[in-house]
Amino acid sequence: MTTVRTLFNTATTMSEGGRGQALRRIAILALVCVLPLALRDYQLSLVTTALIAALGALALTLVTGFVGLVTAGNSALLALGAYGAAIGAVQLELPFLVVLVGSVLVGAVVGLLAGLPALRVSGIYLAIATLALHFILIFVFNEYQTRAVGSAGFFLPTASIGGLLIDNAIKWYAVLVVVVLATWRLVENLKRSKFGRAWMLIRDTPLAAASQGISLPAYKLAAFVVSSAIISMSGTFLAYFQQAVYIENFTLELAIQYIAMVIIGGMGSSGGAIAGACFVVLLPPMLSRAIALLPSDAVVAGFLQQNLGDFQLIIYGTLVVVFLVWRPDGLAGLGQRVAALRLPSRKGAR
Amino acid sequence: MLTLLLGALTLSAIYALVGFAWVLLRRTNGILNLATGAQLAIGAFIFNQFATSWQLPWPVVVLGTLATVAALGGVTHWVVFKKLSGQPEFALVVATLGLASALKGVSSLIWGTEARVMREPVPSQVVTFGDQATTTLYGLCGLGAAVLVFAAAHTFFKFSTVGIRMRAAAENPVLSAQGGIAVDWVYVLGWAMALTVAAIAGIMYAYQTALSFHGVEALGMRGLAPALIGGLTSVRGVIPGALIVGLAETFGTKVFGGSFQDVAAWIVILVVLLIRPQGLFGDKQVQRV
Repeated sequence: MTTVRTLFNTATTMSEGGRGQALRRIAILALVCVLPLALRDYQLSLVTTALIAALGALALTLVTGFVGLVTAGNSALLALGAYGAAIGAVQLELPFLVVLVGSVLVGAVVGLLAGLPALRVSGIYLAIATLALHFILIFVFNEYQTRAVGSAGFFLPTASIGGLLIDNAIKWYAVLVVVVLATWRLVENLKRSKFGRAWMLIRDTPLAAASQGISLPAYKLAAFVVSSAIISMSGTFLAYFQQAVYIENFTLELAIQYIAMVIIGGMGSSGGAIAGACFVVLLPPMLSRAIALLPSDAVVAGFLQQNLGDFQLIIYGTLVVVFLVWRPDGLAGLGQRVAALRLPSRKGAR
Repeated sequence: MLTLLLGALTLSAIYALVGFAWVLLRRTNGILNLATGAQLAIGAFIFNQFATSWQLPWPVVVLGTLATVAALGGVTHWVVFKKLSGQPEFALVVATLGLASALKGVSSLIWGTEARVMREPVPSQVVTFGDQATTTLYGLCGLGAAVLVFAAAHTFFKFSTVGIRMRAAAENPVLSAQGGIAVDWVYVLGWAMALTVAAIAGIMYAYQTALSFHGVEALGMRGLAPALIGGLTSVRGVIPGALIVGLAETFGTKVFGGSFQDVAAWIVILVVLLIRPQGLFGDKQVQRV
């Protein structure tokens, strides 16, 4: 229970001081170390998938949560990282780390190009530009895939770092835990920096931000570029982890799933984004397990199992709307409420 | 050549209708509705349900579709967007994305994802003008529908009390509420009208191609292009916007092949964002904050 609560709380209770934070860090470390021992390989790879999604959700928190911009380009940027990996690893036979750095750079450049025209005017235009980015990039990658290998898509070699092959669930888990924690740290630090303060001021009162001498286009663009680079990187991780890249993966619905992670987790909370990512990724397998518990001859069970994808779309979409209406601060806010109930002294702290 | 131009014109008519739906919501309700694609597809599928699956007589089909789609619009406002009033604009846009996902799931659950052929009121036929210029009957129907919708909208917003109230509410909701306009009903009407026009576009498009969620939804999303060229808030600006997109798509497909259809409109959007983000007919002062 403590660990779950700490996960939710990290983002907004920094003012609480050293002891709580140290405890929280120990709790997270303990959770991270215990998980691979407690879970089987299949479950661990699910957690790894959730961690990859958490990277994207953290990046999106930066743009949507901190700055208050909507982007629909998450799926296209993931595809960018994935196809970058396919081109780098399969066509050019580059090592994993080179591909990874390359995808970060390409992600940043594409983010810059897409954000530059849109962010000169009001924030809503970024949604339009990223939609255009989505459809154009998916079109380009689809054409490329058809010409290069056909509709089955690319198969990637096993990733290796300095001769060490990352070829099983535990190794992948270890790599991604490190990357996610580092990214989390980066996002938290950015939030506390001059940039983070400017971003949140832009989100809450753009006029005040402008009159403080904050250049809105520049700061918005900075957020979008950083987040594009991270999402592209997570696309590369996804490609190497699944060892396959094909276009059907990257739909507009996937982009909405990432938005769902951020909204469900709680806008502006990086810990919440990780919780949201885990929720969104782990929901389908859990639903599937829950359905399997129903008596197998029930008509309902078969119907549910067959249409799991549709129910996923409905659940994520509804949750986005429900959370926006009911709790814009998401799971992170809920966690705080629960914490406040259990420790009355904290009520004043918020 | 003439056939191509005619094709571009009939396509433009459909784009004009979709663009109208985008602009109307942006203008009246202040929402950039990214669920337009999904809602347009749902409207077309509801029509198909009445017409093909239940084989009802045509007046019932038309009235039933109208009533269902308008009711959907009302529900959308009362259940979702009324609750979100006062939230920052990006929250509204995110909500439309959530709505798009949910609607897609519902549609796929009820109607599946494979393409269908709709029951036709009159058999489709090729119409020939002059020597070689040909188009289809349903292409002309779409053109007629667009002309009708735009003429009706013009009259409605210019001369009817309700239309003028809608314009007032769009201009300044607080003041018009003070002046005794039921702003919520204006918003409901805005949703209902936008969804209806979107559904008409979807139905016309489906008659000219086939009815599949993916195809019709993609059309609805591409309809953002004419709306953007028009400046997102100008109903009149949609018409030249639609012509530009229709021409770009028709000739782009001719030059670069069939799959170019998917991206022509999006390339137009990027170009517009680059050179003139406020569109050709939008409000002169674009908020730069």
